[in-house]
Amino acid sequence: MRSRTAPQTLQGQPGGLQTKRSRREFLQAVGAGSTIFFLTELLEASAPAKAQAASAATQTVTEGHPPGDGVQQNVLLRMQADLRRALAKPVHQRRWVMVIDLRKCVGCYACTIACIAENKLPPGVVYRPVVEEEVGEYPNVTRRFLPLPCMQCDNPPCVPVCPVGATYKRADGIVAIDYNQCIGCRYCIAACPYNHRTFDAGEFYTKGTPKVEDYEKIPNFEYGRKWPRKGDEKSPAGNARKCHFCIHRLEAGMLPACVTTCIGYATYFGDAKDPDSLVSEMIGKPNVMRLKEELGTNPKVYYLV
Amino acid sequence: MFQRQWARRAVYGAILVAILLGLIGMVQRLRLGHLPANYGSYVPWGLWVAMYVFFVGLSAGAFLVFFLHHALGIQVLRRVSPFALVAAFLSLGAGLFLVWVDLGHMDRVWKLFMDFTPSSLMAWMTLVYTLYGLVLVMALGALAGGSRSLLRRLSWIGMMLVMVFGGGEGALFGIVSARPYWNSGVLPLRFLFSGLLAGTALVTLLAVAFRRWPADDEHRRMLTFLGRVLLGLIGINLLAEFADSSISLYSAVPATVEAYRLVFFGPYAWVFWIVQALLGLAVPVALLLYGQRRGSGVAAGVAGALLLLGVFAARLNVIIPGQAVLGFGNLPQAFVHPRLATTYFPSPIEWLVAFGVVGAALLVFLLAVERWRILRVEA
Repeated sequence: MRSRTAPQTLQGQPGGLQTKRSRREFLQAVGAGSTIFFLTELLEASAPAKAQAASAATQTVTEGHPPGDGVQQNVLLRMQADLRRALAKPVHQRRWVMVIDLRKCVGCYACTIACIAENKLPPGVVYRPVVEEEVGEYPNVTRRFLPLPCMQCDNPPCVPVCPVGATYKRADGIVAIDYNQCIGCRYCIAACPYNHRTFDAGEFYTKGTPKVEDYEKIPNFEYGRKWPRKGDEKSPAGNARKCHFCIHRLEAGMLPACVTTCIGYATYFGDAKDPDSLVSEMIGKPNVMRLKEELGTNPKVYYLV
Repeated sequence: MFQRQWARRAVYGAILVAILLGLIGMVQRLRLGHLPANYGSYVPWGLWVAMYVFFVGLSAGAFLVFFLHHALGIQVLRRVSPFALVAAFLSLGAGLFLVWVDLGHMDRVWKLFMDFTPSSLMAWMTLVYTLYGLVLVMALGALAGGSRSLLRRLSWIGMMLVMVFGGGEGALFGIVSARPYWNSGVLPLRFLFSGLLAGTALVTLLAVAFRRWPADDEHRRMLTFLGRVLLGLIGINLLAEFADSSISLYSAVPATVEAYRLVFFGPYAWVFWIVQALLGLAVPVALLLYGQRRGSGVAAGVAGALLLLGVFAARLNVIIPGQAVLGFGNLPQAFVHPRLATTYFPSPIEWLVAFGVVGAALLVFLLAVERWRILRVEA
């Protein structure tokens, strides 16, 4: 499904013993990763007081974060605290932004997969592709990775073109789609300068097998509603679809799936209207850029370079 | 209309086969949704949208002929102007049907009217098409009733709407700044002029192939006039296309240059060089010049058919390459799926539905010509 150049090179190492050792190491790594992920999710769902205690307990964890107010904190806990603060405000006083540190992205695609799992995305629909590019010439050659969520533009070209007002900008700046209003004309897909939107043609991964598996029909919870997949042209099949910063998670007090899953702490999220938030600190730096700023779309996804 | 019975049978037989194929395609479309279609996310608009803009352009051009007779009083078009009106009506219907089939939710088409969004050009186009359709229906009624003054008034109103939607369909693409190949102020004019050319070519073809009058002097004068109109429109089209392409290529915006490279040298370059430039332009110009000198009806008819082919190829060469160049070149490799590709060729179902719509429009036209009293113009 995805370009697998790098993993194939790793898996292709010769030697049975080496393979066995690698597998053991891999299983250990998966076990450790799962534990961390589980603990993170657990912490997210916990009460503010617990989170505060946890924050204090993990202050020595220093991976991937800029200095806050002089105290080194785990970025996920910091962002969760930022999120809770933002949710306490009226919706129009929030301005959700995402910051992606390209220096830390290792191209693992955990964000892509987490997004697919979270939103139960069918084949051909992707909210967070990661564009790979090889730069330089041997011996000075490297790969760089560019995660591409929806830019949630302040001046979104996809919104005015919609003939039925199905796509709109929310008070908190997120560009949303009313699935039951969308007629599937795909004008918004053509109008997006970031080629972000995708068309849900109604596909299933297990189509063409003896049975379309039930796990493909379970509902997703985009926009805070249940969207079961019934196998006909019922929405969201037949619609344009896009990243929505996991609104349903945000409103439940959780960070977007791509943020919590990022293994390198390369993706940050928060309220840019809160001067104390992590993202506010980050986007006030000179090494920040946004994609295609010349178009005047004013994206709310920032890249650290 | 048909000199020989076998020709009639052959034409109706071909049309019925096309309709049958179209019905198979429609059943599959309704049964399987968009699964059998080849358009996707990076090329969201395919054959059906290309045919929609082509047919709407045909309607504009056919109406031009009707307008020239009823509003400007060009008598030499007397016999063919009812043909033009029927062709304009059917072309509009065929185009709108195809774009309806293309919708992700065909059952929600009513929202275009009930949830009108003023910021959307597509919403305004829906309104204009509706008004234009009403004008066409009223004009058909006036034609049956023989009310010349009403026909004159309707032809003026209709022509104004033609100018709006003829250019507006180009503006649908031209305003999309995300696609630099489309993003041009000349595109609406190109669409308007090429639509007028294609519609006039269609009427010329219909007048030659399905006329219900003798091939007398008036018929020859009509073809001569239509030939001159076609040559004039070809000149205007070449001017507009040169203005657009030369400025775009000279300004060297990478995405635009890449799209032109695809048109001229890409995997479907034959569509431009063979279909659009040779068969759709050079040959019809030669035939029209020959027809002007010799008064050949067949040459004019063949030229009309080839011009239709050329304009359709031109439409494809605007719509598809504009989508094939992405802002992020490696995006199709980032998440690989057939619907996340920049290459596109219509699927069999898309072709079948397209054949069916063309066949159905032609069937209604022929039945109208054969059976509708008002289309039997006296010699």
